[in-house]
Amino acid sequence: MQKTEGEESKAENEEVKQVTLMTSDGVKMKVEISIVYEMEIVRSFIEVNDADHSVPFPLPNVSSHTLDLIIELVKNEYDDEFMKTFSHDELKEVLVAANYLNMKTLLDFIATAIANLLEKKSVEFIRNFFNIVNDFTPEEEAEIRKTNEWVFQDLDED
Amino acid sequence: MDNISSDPFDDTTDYISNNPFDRTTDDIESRSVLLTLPEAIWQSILERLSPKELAGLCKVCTFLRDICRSDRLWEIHVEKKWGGVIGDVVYKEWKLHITTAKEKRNGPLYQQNSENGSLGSFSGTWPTLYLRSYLDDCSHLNSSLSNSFMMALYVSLETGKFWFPVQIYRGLFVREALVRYDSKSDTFRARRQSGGWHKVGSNIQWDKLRAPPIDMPPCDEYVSDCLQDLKPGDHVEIQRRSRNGIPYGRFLVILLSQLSDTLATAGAIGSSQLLMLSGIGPAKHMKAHGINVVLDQPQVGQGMTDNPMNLLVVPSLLPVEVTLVQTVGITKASLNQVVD
Repeated sequence: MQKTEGEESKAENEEVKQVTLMTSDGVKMKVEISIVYEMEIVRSFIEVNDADHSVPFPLPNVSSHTLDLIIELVKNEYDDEFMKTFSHDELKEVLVAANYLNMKTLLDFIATAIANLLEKKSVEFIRNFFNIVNDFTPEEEAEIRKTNEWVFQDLDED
Repeated sequence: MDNISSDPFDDTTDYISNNPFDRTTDDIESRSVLLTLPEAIWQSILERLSPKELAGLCKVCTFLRDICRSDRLWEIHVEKKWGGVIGDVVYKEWKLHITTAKEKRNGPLYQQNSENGSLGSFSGTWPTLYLRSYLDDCSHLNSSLSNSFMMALYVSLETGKFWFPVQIYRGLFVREALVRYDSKSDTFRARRQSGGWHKVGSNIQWDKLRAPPIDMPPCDEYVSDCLQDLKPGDHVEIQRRSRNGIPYGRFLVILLSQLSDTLATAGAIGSSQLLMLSGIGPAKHMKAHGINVVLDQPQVGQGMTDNPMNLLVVPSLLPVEVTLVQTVGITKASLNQVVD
């Protein structure tokens, strides 16, 4: 449906319809409507209000850098190789932004990437990655170690 | 969606002022990455991880431990690996084991409890008692793992502690047995109970196993009232089951099913009759009775054997140690005839 609309407008205006988004750091970015339509939060607003696309739509939780990455990912049809160039921080920022923007395909894609990243990683790596503080009591920690020893004897020690 | 706050001075303010040296603002901001993500997002990341990795993630923090032990995640793994061989009866049995374990843990006898195993439910009457499942060792259920139904089930199956009921294909027959998994060889070991434990086999492959199609103890006869629904082309199989009340007696049961629904079962004589009535058997014999022949199988109804047994009751004035039935002597002649 979105494609037909986009193509129609293409034919009418001889140019791709764009929506202006305003990022948290105050940058106004013109984004193709087909990409914007993947962002449920913006799409629902546009559809309900039939808003004037020249008025910037504010995205207070997404930086211009993160939005750039997301646009590139969508344009590249979720290219694994491109995703691999992301730093851990960028990966997390895209995850949080994808959740905020409610982009289902992107969320799925990035969940896979993060799951792959966590594979065979030490507890310390995971704590660092998510910035998690170890909040176990010594008793709880001992209990988990005991259970895991019992469950998977060959579980790698960190 | 709106749980990521744009206001830097919301509920974290108190935390900062109360613990000025504890954590920096940076820490709190990035911690929020983890804590504000909805559970659905965590779910979509974690459901892509293997059981082993989920268990590993339990060591990270309490938040991840609780989420990584959730039934929703482990249900996927239980279904994926065990779905084909465990049926409803296994879940019922597992509920029993886990409830017993919890009671043991909370009970006063927990400390001095020396017994490691756990028995499932029984069916039948003595001396033909059938144990429907058991755990070799349930010490792991004394921990908080017993609160995670699916994860505990998965690991008990994986580690081979849980003997559960299945049906095993052996040549033409399907027979009931309890099996446990051996993760090293990726095969199963099977036992059968009939007047004591008998080894049925080891190194049994996955494709020889299936979940029992109906939830029924091996000693019970299943009576069906939908015989008239049978038609040519229906799946027919032969099951070997023990007869109720006689520990050594075995007889054949014909199981006719449409898709996976069991329709009918019968005993040693009834089986042949049922097959012939459905048009499977010696063509000549069936034609004589006006039955349409579906398959000419001259073996049906031939070589019938059964195990008659005499019971001798001797009243005793002294208490007698209770044992299961044992074979005390076999004659040479009968040994030559033993065919299993």
